[in-house]
Formats: sequence, structure tokens, C-alpha cells
Amino acid sequence: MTREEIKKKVYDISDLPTLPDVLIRTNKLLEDPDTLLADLTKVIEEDQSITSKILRIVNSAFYGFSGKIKTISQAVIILGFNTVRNIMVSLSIIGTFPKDGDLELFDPMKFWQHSVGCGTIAKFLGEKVGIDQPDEAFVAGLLHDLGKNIFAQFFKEDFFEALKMAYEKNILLFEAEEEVLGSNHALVGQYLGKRWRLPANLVDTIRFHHDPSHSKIDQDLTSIVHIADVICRGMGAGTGGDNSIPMIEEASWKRFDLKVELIEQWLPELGEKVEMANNLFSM
Amino acid sequence: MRRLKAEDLEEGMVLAEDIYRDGEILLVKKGAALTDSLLRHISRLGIPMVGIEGEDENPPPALDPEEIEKIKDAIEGELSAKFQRVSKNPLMSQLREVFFKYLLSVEMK
Repeated sequence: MTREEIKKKVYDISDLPTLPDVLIRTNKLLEDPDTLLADLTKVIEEDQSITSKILRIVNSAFYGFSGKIKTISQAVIILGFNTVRNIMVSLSIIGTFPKDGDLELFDPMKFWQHSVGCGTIAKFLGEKVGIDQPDEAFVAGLLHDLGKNIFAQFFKEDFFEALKMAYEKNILLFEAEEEVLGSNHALVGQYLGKRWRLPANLVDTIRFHHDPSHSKIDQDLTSIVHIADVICRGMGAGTGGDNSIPMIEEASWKRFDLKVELIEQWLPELGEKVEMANNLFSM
Repeated sequence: MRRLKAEDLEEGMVLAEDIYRDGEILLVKKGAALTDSLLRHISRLGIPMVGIEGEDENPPPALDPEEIEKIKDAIEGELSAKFQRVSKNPLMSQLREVFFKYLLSVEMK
């Protein structure tokens, strides 16, 4: 298959995973500068399931407001619109990940753990190096490998060949996908991200997490996720379906003036945070 | 710090770590002294082990050196496969060392 054929096929899939209605309505409200806090709160609170999950998360040790935030409007006032939206996107994404699969070499649970791990590490690094919105780095990390879900669900046989090749040759899944499918999960994730109308910088991260220096929109976010992916693989938190580690782009590393000693110092805390996030965002 | 089973806790012991409910909601901060009602709470929540201030009277036996070597070999094997293609890159080699130390410390816990 060629890239164009894959792209067309992805756009033609009628039963692609969709995002929940409450998120779509929230996004619309957030695009409108005249939206009032009360309008937004009402839309979210109509969905009781997501409301209770949001409150559980903002009151967890992950955000550190133990039991203090009782309502969505409090959450928005204290944490800001963007953080609440990012939590909603994260919760919505869980629902689009397959929970079980018969694909050998691709365990959905471990894949979810890799995604949560990468998001947690990206958020942590983002806080440490001071990027604009570390919360966004969590969502970006969760989403970076989104394309693999599409391959696993809609291109099963070819994806299985790619997984096998990645293990046998000990290469990155990204490279094996190119050989077998003529495309890769970064591109396919980008197609889905666009269809979902995700913010442009998140789509950009999905597209360029293997080569962040090519990103044109948000090199900070893309580079953070790129580095978080490598750390996540090194720590052995979940697996993305291959057993090789990508090389960190020199420009990304230098961008934040990172040091190996710092990573060493942060690893124990990262291990705890990743475990905590996995409990919080379990499937 | 020493780690005790919930049933071995006694009133007056001082917590050496925070206690969370379901691993997420902070229940008691470290430094608090255990009271009768806290003890009942801990047992009701089914928290298995709690960190308490003070030295362990019966420290767990040190791992057998042979066992440690086996663990080291396993981690080394895993990392050398993962880093095979990037082993010539100085940054990646340094990171590999850091991951080795980290993974070993996790295994030795």
C-alpha cells in the first residue's frame, strides 16, 4: 500500500473510534470567547459519569487537591479551563483504546500503560524544564502512539507482520510499519487527530514524536514527548509493541538543557508517578 | 523506616510515609502518630503494609550474591537488546547506565 491509499482508507473507515459528545460540546464552548463559566459547567455536569471522574482526578495525589474540589466550577476556577479540558480529553481517550485484542505481540493493556507512562513523564519533564502547559504534555504523551490503535483495529494482518518484523530484526515498529504498510503510526495518528479536530499542537506531536525537529507548530511539546517516550521505554513502563529504543534527537535534548544526571535523579520519583497515574487512568 | 503489616501496628507509632486510599486520595500525612481510630481505619481499608518511623528490628535477609548477579544479568540482557542500535551514541550509552541503576534499585526493593 502507499501512503495515499492508507490515508484514504483511514478517512473511509466508517466505524473509527469517536470522542464523547460532552467533549465535543465543551470544545465548541471553549472556542467561543463569550462562553460563561456557568454554560461550561452545565454541559460537563450533565454527564455525571465524566463529572465524577474529573473530580476524582483533580482530588487525587496526581493533582494534589485532596478532597478540596467539590464541583466542576471550583475545578475550573482553581485549575483553569485548559487543565479541565485536558483531563476530559484524557478520560475520553481511554474509551477509544481497545481493551482486549487477539493480536499476538500487541497487548492493549501494556500499550495503554506505555501511553499513560509517556504522558506522565512528559508532564513531569514539562514542569521541570518549564514549558508553557505541562498538562498538555500529559495528553500529548497519552496520544502520541494513537495511530497504532488504528493499525491494530483496521489493518490487523499487516500490522501483525510489522510487529513480527520489529521483534525479529530488533528495529523500531515505526520502521517496520514503513516496510510492511508503506506508512507509519505517526502519520495515521495524525489523520485520526485531524478527524477528531484535536488542537493543532497535539496533532503535531502525534505526527512528529519520532522526529521533533521537523515539527512546525510546537517544538517544545513535540520534543518533550519524544524524550518522554525514550525514558518510558528505558524504565520498562508498558510497551508500545517493539523492543528497540529510538535515538534522542540532539536538538531536542539541547533545547531544554537536560543532563543525564538530572534524569538519574528524577527516575525514582518518575517511577512512583507512573504507577500512580496507571491506577488513576486505568482502563 | 521499617515496613509493618497492618496487624502488627500499634497505637503511638509514627507514620514514615503518607497513606493513600485507593492509591490516590491522601488519607493521613507522614509524621502522624497512630491512634485507635486510625488503626481501625487502616484495617477497614485493607491496606496491607505501612511504613513506620524507626529501625527495623529484624531486617529482611540480604539477597544472596548469586541472586543479585542473576538479576543484573537479566537487566543487562534486556537493556542491551533495547539499546543495540543506539549503543554508539554517547548520550544513549549514558542513559543506558542510568536505566540500569534504576531498574536494579527497583528489583532490589
